[in-house]
Amino acid sequence: MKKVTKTEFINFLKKQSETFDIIAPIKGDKGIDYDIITDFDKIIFDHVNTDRSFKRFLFPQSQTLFEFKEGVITEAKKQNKKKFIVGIRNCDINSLKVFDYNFIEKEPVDTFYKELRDNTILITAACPASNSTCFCTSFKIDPLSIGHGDIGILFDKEEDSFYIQGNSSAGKDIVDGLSTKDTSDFDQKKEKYKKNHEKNRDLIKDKNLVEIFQSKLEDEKWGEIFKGCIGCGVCTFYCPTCYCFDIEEQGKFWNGKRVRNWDSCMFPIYSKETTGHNPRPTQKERYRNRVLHKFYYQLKHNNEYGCVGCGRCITNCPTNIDIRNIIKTFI
Amino acid sequence: MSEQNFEPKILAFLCNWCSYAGADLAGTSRIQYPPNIRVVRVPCSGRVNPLYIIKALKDGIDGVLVSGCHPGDCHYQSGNYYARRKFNMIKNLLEYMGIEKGRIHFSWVSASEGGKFAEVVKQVTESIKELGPNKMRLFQNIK
Amino acid sequence: MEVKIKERLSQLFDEQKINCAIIFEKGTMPDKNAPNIIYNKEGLNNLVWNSMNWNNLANYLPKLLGKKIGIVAKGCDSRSIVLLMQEEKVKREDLYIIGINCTGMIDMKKIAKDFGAEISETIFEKDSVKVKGKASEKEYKVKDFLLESCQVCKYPSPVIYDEVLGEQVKGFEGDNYQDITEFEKLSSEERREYFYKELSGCIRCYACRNSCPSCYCQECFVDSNQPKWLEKGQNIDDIFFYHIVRAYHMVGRCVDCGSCQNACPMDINILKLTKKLNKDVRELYKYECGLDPKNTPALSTFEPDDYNEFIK
Repeated sequence: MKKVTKTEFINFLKKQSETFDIIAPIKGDKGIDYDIITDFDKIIFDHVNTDRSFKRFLFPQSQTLFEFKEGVITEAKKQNKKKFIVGIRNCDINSLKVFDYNFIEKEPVDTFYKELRDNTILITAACPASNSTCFCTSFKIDPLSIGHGDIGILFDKEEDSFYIQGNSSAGKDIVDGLSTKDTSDFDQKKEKYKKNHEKNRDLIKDKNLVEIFQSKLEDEKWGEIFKGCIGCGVCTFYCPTCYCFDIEEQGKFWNGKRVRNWDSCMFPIYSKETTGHNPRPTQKERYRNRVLHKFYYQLKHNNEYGCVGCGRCITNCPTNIDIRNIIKTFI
Repeated sequence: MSEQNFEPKILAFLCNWCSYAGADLAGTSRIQYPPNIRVVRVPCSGRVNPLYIIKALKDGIDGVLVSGCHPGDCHYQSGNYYARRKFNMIKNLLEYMGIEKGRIHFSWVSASEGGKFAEVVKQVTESIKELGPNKMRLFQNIK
Repeated sequence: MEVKIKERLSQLFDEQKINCAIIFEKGTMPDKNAPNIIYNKEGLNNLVWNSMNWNNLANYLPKLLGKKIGIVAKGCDSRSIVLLMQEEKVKREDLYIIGINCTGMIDMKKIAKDFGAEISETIFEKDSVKVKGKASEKEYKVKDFLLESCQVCKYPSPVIYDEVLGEQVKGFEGDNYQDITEFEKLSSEERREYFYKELSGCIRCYACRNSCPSCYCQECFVDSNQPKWLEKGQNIDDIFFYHIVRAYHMVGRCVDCGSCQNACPMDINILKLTKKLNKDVRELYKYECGLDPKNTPALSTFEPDDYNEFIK
């Protein structure tokens, strides 16, 4: 672990920008969100979390797979510049467990995701505080950890300094060149920030969700909890772990491309079959699927939660459907 | 294609009872008009869903012409009256959103107005030629 | 107000005049209330009425077809009910409408921006709201932080109801489409630039479509793949045309409730589109939707001497 001042850290990022596209949170008109950085002084480090997760840099909302023109197929252009994403919170970085399991660890490997994943350096930052909607501790995520991603950092606002640690071999190589100050006070600093996370509640408390949901798949409560849902895709598009996509051909048959786009299980067309039959005919079934996919199916098959407790679906839902209430209802 | 010899592609929705017959008459009377239009015959101008116009523009057509019977002459009594309201709104909306004024045209052409049909096509083609190609061609603005 | 609504609804449940009710419940977030459908008296415990109830409750009506429904309706909700009655999506005799004279809804996004810190509690008084954070506290007048649609609302009192609560409220008397008139003065390129910039933020979650009571199609044109009108994905032209067609489908059917814009997580100014069409419908066809169930919607009727100048 190393300790550097803010100026040193910014200079370090500037140096990296020669080989990487630096992506970091900045303040826009609508809030704090990731963007490609040109002005390094504008990067924000002490926010709680960004409006949207960083998943769109590894798994873009629209991604061209290949193009075809008059019978000739050309593969989509690969990204030439590597990415360097700064300031990822611990909840978001844990969403990659879900992505890696589905796209890399299981055959066949998704080469489009893998390519972006391999060419991205991820910098995790410890979270300075929790919002009232945060519940990442429910999933055994430590918001102050710096042990995930390629590099982990902890920003101390009082001293304007960064504790920085390389985790992967690529990350260690990058951090190697930095000079350092005394880092023995790291644990003390971490302890100091701990009290900001009191709001972050553990909702699950070591209960076995697989067993709980197994017996409640047809519970009548499912008919109640979704009531206000209007069936938009906000929760799924904001969710850092939602990875469903839909592949379609765009253009004409002699000149077009095949594209994959994000899809949302909240839309009626998501599960509609060619015959016109829809196995999830109402919003109740769709909403149940979303909850069970997060807390039951993935847990059963992969032993990982499909939720990381970032709270984005709660803050952005237009009708205030709260996934925490749903966990509470069934536990 | 250079700016000078740009030949626009224009989609024309012609009503079966008046405008299509009018176009026919223009043909049999050997009246010359620009060959830029592609005709789609529809039963009535009221059959033209504004989505057709939008879909055509999105897929890269340079201009759209919709033509039907004169008010009062509709084969189905009132199809063109309803159509007029729809077209007015879609035209206003498209122009409001910044699609150039001369891209979509509407006209009333009866079965006996072969000359008028040729005149309309001439005007439409010229106005679209002036605007140049549709800027919304497919794959142009990919994020 | 809350007590009265509760009283009336529980009475209606007792008399079996209704078997479900659409109400607002206290949300889990301090800056949100949750619209909800309840089927018995117990559900009324969480009922709330304050200035955060911007959702249009008429949105849930077409899904509840055939039930006896009690609904709490603001001015805009009641206009949507009229519209749904015109289009035969709901029957008047199935409804018991408790009208509310609405004093306007508050824009919590604006307040959150002004407040700066995370809001932990909101306390509503008659015409103000006290916002509490971890370290600070501030009071806002509802009047100064109204939602865009509420600022120029002409019909804050319900147009159709079985009974009405609250004092009569005066509607906005000026020109409610002033901003559109201003915007129309810009050049075609400027407007196009504006919309391209505004709409480039769209993530196509369709919250605007789904929060709109007039959007009740079984299959939306964006979901249809035979014919396939639009492609999915983030191509800006597709987004552009999605918004054109969504707005176009609102011609003479939009009640200016603003729920599309309020539901948008990316804060896109969608009202700029629907308001333009409302303005045109009013000017050209002298029609405002959702005022009288006996009226025929603007595009379902015609006059022989409608505006004809644009046709060659």
